[in-house]
Amino acid sequence: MLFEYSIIAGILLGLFYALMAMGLNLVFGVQRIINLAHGDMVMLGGFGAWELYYGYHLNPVLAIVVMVPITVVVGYGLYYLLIPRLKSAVDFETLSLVLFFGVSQVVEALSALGFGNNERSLPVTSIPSQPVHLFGQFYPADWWVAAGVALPLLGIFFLYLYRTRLGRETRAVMADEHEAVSVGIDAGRVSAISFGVGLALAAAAGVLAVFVFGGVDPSEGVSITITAFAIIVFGSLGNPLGTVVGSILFGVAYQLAQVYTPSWSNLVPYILVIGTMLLRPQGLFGRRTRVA
Amino acid sequence: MLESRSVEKPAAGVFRRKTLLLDLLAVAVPVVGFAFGINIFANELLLVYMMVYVALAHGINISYGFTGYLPFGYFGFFGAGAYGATLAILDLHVPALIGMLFGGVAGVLFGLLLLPLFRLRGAYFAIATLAAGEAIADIVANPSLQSVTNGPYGENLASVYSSGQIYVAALVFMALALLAVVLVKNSRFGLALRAIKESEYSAAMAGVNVVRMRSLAWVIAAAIAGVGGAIFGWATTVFYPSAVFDSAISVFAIVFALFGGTGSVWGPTLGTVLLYGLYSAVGLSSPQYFQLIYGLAIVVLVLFAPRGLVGFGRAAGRMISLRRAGANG
Amino acid sequence: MADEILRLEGISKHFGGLHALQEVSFSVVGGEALGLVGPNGSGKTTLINVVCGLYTPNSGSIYLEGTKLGKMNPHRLARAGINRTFQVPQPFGSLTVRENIEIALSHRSGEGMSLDDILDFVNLGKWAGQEAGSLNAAQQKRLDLGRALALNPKVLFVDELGAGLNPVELAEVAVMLRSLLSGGRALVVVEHLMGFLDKLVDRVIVLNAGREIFHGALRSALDDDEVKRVFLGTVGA
Repeated sequence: MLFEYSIIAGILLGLFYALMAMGLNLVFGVQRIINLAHGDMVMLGGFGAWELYYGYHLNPVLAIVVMVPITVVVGYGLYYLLIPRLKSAVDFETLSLVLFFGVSQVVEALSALGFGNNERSLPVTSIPSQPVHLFGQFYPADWWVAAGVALPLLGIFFLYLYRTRLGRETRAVMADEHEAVSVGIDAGRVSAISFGVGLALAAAAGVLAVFVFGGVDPSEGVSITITAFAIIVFGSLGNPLGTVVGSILFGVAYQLAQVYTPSWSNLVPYILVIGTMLLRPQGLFGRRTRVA
Repeated sequence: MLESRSVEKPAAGVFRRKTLLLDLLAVAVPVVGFAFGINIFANELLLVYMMVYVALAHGINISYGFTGYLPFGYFGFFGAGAYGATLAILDLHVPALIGMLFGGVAGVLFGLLLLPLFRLRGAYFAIATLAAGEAIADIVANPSLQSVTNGPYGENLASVYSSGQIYVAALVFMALALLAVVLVKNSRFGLALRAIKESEYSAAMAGVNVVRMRSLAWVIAAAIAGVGGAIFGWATTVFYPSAVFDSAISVFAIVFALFGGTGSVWGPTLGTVLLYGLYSAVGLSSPQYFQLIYGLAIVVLVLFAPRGLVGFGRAAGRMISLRRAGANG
Repeated sequence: MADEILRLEGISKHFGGLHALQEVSFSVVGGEALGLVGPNGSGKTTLINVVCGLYTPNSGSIYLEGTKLGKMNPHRLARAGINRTFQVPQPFGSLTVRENIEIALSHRSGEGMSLDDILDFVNLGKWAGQEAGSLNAAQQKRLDLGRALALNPKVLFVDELGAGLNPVELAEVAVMLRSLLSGGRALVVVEHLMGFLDKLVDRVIVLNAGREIFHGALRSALDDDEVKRVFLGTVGA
C-alpha cells in the first residue's frame, strides 16, 4: 500500500521537479553554464507569489502568468550584463560557476534583507485544497495542483522548443554553437532568451514550491539548485526529455525514502548527483556531454 | 621528486632566491603580526577566527590556485574536522591539542573519500563537492546519529577550553599552512601542479604523475580545512552542526582567496585580513549585508579582476618597469 | 637489422559506433623514421593517443622493445620512453619556457640532453625566461618537441610539426628531426606535406578511415591507386 502511495506521489512530485529543473538544463544546454543561482530564482518565484497574493489578492496560479514574462525580460537583460564579458576568459566554465555562486549569494542576501529570514507560506485555501482519495490513500491537494500546473507548462515549453522557430534555433545552439552561428543564427540572442526562459521556468516552479515544500525562505536556494542539478545530471545534461524522466524517477525514489527511511531521505539528491557523476556520467540517456 | 639538478643559469637562480625570500616574508609577517597583535587588539576570538580563515583561504589557494579545482563543498572538510576533533576529545579523551590533529585526520579521510570526484572536470567537481558537503552535514546532524554526534543539538567543548592554548594552536596552524603554500609554490611539486592546471595530458607526457600530484595537493587542502574546523570548534566552545557545516565558510574562504589573488603566498592572507577585518569592524549584527557585499565582490572580481589584488600589484609593477625601460631607452 | 623499438599488433579503437582504428599493425626500428599519412579523420592522431596512453584500445597489443605494455598511464609511458608532440601545441602557457622543459627533465631517470642542449636544439634559448603562452605557434611546437626530448624518448611521435612553416623552415626542421635518429631512437612522423616527408622518412603507412591501406616506400605509395584515390579526394577538396 505504502509502495503504491510512493509511486503515485513520486510521479506527481516528479512533474513538479521537472519544471523546477528544466530551466537549469536549458541554460546549461545552450551556454554550458551551470546557473548556481537557479534555486534562488525558484525562491524568488515563491516570494513573488506571496507578495502578489497578499498585496493584490492574486491567485498563485495566476501569479505564474504574471511572473513568467517579467522573468524572461529580466533574464534577457541579466544575460547581457554578465555573460559576454566572461566568454573570452580562459577558464570560462569554472569562472561562470563562481560568478553565479556570487549572484546566488547576492540574491539570497537581498531576499533575507527584503523578506526577512522567516519562512513564509500561503494559505492552502488559495488553491483547491480538498485531499484527493485514490486507491485507499489520501494525497494532499497541493501535490495534484503542482502536477496539474507543471504538466501543461512543460507541454508549452516542449512546444516552444520543438515547434517554434526560436525553439529550433535554440536546439541548434544546444547541438553546436559554432555550427549554429555559421548558418546565420544569432547565438547571443538565443542564449539570452534561453536564459530568460530558464529563469521563468524556475520562477513558475517557485510558486508551486511554496505549497510543495510548505513555504519559502531565503536560504532554500542552494539545496534546490543541488536537487535540480542532481536531476539534470541523472537525466543527462542537455536532454530536456531526460530531465522529465529523471525527475519522475527522482520523485519516486525520494518518496520511497520518505516512506521507508524518513530521516535519511534528504540525502537522496546528494547521493543521486555524486553517484551519477561517478558511475554513469553521461546520465540515463547518454548524450555526449563530457563531465570527465 | 625534488632532486636538485643544477640546470638553471645563475640569473634565474638569483631571481628564484628573491621570490623565495619574498614568500618567506609572507609567512613571517603575518605570524609575527598575529603573535604581537594580541597585545594591541584584545579581541582574541576574532584573531583566532581570522587566523583560521587565513589558513582556509590558503587551502583554497592550494586547491584552486595551483590545481584549478574549486571545492565549493570546502565547508564539509571544515565541519568534519570540527566533529573529528570534538569526538576525539570527548570520547577518546585525548588532550585538546592532539584533538586538533584528529580534526586534520578527519578532514583528510573525507578528502580521500572524495578522491574519485577528480574524474570530473572542474565545474562538475565543484558542484559534486558541494553535494558531498551538504550530504556530510545532513549525516552528522541527523537525529538517528544522536548517540554519536549528538545530532542537531551540537557539541560542547567547554571542559577543555583554554584561551592561551587555542591562540598558540591557531598561530602555529596558520604558520604551517603558509609554509605549506611556500613549499608548494617553490618546489617541483608546485611546478607540476601548475603544469597539470594548464594541460593535464601535456603534464602526463612530461612524465608528471597527474593523479598522485593532484591527490597530494587535495589532501593538503583537506588537512588544512580539517584542522581549521577543529580549532574553530575549540575556540567557539559550543557549536551546532549548522555553524561548522555552513556554506558561508566556503564563501568566505573563496572570496578571501580570490580577492587577494590565488597562486601567491601574500594574496589570500591580505584578502582575509582586509575583508575579514572589515567584516568584523562593521559588526556581525546583520550577516546579510556581508553576504551581499561578498556576493557582489565575487561577481565584480570574476568579471573585472580574476587575478585579485596581487594581480593588480603585478600589473602595476609591470607598467612601472615598462615605463622605466621606456625612459631609459 | 636494427633493434625493433615499437610494435603495434591489431590495434582497434571504437568511439560508440565510429571505428577510429581498425586492426592497425606496424613496427618501427631504432634509427628509423616512419611516415604516418592519411586524410583528416583517418585515425593518425587517434593512433598516437592510443600509443601514448590517452585512450585504451578496444583490442590489440603494443610492444616497447619487445615487452608487451599493459594498460599504463600516460606519464608511465612517457617515462618509459614513448613521447609525442601535439598537432595543436599544448605548452604550459603560464610557465616559462625553461620551466616547461624542467618539468619533463625532472622525471628523466637516465642520461640525456641537458636543459641548455635542449633549448639550443629547439632554438628557444633566447626565450628561456619568457612565458610559454607568449610564444608564437611555431615556437610553441618546438617547445613541445623540447619537452618531449627532455624525457629522452625511445620512440617519438611528431604530429604535424611542419604545418604552417615556409620551405626554408621546413628544410631546417627535417634536418633537425633526422639528427634525432642517432643513438637508436625511432621517429613516427605524421605529416601532410609529401615533400617534407620525402626528405625525412624511409617508408610510410597510409591510413584511411582507421584502416591501413598502404605500407611501403613513399615513392611507391604515390603510385598506389587506392592512395591516389583517397588523396585526390581530399587534396582536390
